[in-house]
Amino acid sequence: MEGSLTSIINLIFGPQHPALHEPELFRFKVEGEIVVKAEPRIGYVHRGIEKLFEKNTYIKGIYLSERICGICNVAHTVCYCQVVENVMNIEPPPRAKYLRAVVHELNRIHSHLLLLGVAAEELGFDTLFMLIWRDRELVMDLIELITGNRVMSAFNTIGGVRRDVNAETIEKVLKVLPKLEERVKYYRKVFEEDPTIRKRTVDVGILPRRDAIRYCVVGPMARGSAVDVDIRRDIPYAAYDEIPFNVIVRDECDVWARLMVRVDEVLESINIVRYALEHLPSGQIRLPLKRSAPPGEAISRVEAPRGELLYHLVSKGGITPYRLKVRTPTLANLLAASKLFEGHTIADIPAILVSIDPCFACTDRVTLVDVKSGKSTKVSLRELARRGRE
Amino acid sequence: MNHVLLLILQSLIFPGFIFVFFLALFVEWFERKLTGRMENRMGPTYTGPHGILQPFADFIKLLQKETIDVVSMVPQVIDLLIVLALSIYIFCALFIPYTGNAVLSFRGDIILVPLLLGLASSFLYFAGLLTKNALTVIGALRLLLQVIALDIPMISLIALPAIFTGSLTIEKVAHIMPYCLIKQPLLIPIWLIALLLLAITEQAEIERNPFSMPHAETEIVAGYLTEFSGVRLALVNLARDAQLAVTSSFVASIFIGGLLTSNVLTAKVINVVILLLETFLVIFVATEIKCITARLRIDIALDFFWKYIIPSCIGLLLLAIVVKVII
Repeated sequence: MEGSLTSIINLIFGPQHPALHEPELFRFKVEGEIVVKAEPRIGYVHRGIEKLFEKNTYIKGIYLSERICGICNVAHTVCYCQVVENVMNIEPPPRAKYLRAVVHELNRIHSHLLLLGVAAEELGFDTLFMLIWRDRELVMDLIELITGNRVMSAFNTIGGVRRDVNAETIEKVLKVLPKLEERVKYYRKVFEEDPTIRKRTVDVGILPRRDAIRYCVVGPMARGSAVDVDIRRDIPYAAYDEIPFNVIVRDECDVWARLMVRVDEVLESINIVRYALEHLPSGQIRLPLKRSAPPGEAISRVEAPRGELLYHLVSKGGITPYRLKVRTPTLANLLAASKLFEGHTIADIPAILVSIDPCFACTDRVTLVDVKSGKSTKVSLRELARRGRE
Repeated sequence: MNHVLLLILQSLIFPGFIFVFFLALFVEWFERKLTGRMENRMGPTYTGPHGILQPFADFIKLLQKETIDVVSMVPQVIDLLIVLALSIYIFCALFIPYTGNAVLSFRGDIILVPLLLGLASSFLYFAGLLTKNALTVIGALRLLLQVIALDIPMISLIALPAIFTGSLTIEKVAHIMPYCLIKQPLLIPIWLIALLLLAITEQAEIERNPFSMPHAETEIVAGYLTEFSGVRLALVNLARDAQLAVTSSFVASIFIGGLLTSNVLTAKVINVVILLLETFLVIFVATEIKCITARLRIDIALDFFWKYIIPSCIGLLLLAIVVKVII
């Protein structure tokens, strides 16, 4: 009887929607304001990039992996370079490992600040969005200073990194970090205390610890649900075994906890960058380049800003991989997230969606469909590869 | 005869259609610029000095754009409702004493104007509801819930200046308003609390943050406005700007007032300047609140209104009556 009075509305989010910054589709069944069922449909930005890896040399693969996701590009290149190094049985020099950690953390800061700004926007708090993105420029400038580019850094290469830092650069970076830290502490206070933000995020989209483990969620989403995992600490890579840092875990399990984990991680990342630059070992930044890999198989896992990123490489010898598999964090988190919507209101959809920090370009991977654009990209890839060997 | 001609001129030019039209566009620019500056942006800069002509350019541009047919059983009714909503806002402007004297004025218009403002909002609600789209329907339902929750606090707050001054005419209230508080200092705390409640209630009346749920862009795209385009959208935008301008002027005239009673031309010009400045002050406060809050959820907002705002408005009204009787 109750059901007959209200009708169920099909509310379709996407592929184009103001709350989605990438094309993806969510079909929500809505009763009044309450979401009854949510169905994600992924694949709008599928580009077949894994197949493309098989056609390109290991060097070209660096630039390809960088383009899986623009925002967390450093995590992708670190992971790719590590998996290739594992197959080739080489170990980058310590200075390169420290520099990798520095750029990786700067990239994490930029990604988290971007997400926090987007979260504010999705909650309708435009001022906070604008201010966070203004202060994100500080870290973008640092990335540009160290790597030469704001977003696509092309910093890592097989066997090390491509650019060294000098004492002057380190001094400049260390000067900016306190400014950034002060701003992030202020935003932490805003997220912690602002009544409208708390009303919208506290006790919304609760993912209990048991479910988090059962759905295998990763990264800040797991840490917001009291699951203490962090690849940087659990299976240290780059220089993380030598750098002291805390893993942020919160046990509130809601949207707010997931956002607060990210705010606190930004503060931790600032400390990591500071420590790494102050304790930077001397020496060379990369090994002489090897073109081909022996037959073999390897995996590599890194803690990308959105969670655990996994690359699995199979080599049958030669200069191209036989097969490369990428498992991105959003794919791991999306399944659990679609359960979170049920029982919440329409207004909670953007809040929950943003709390998993979805990156659909990661999830769907890359391919080049158009013959023309494919051709032009090939040229630029060759060009990139040439510069990579320099 | 002359009287009728004057009335027609007044309703067409000042303070009627032309005046409201330009005031609405100016108010939109003012709000956009303020929001921009508060959000660390520039706001409109391109069209005219400091982008002052931007809303006008937007209006003209929308008029030339294709008006996509709305999927609806009764498309003509939607057009009618939009035009009616706009006309009601302009009609309300005739009750506001911009020059010190309102064009239309009678005992009780202080209650009529907020009712008309609510009516115009519900016309927009019906226009949204009549279009066949999940987003417009959800937006329209949210607007309706908000309008229902708003009526009681709005009316009880508006009754306060009437009680303070002992008059039910906007014109008289605007003349007596701040001076009567000096004579009866006991009323000043009540007035201050009323201003606070009014700031919250007006925020919901003009659908700005934290009560912008009816057109929450990250949730339901543009809410009840989603299906409108071209001329229809231009008129709806104009109606919403007029709503902001007229509501703010109305609130400013009865809560701050301070208009001169003299009938000299200079006094009239001064009155226009005073009332417009007060209007912009009200809009400034509204924009400030909009910029420092996130959007609430509709259930939280309704909860907040029914549990806290409505009881405190009624309580304040009773308190004001008691204090007034004692004095």
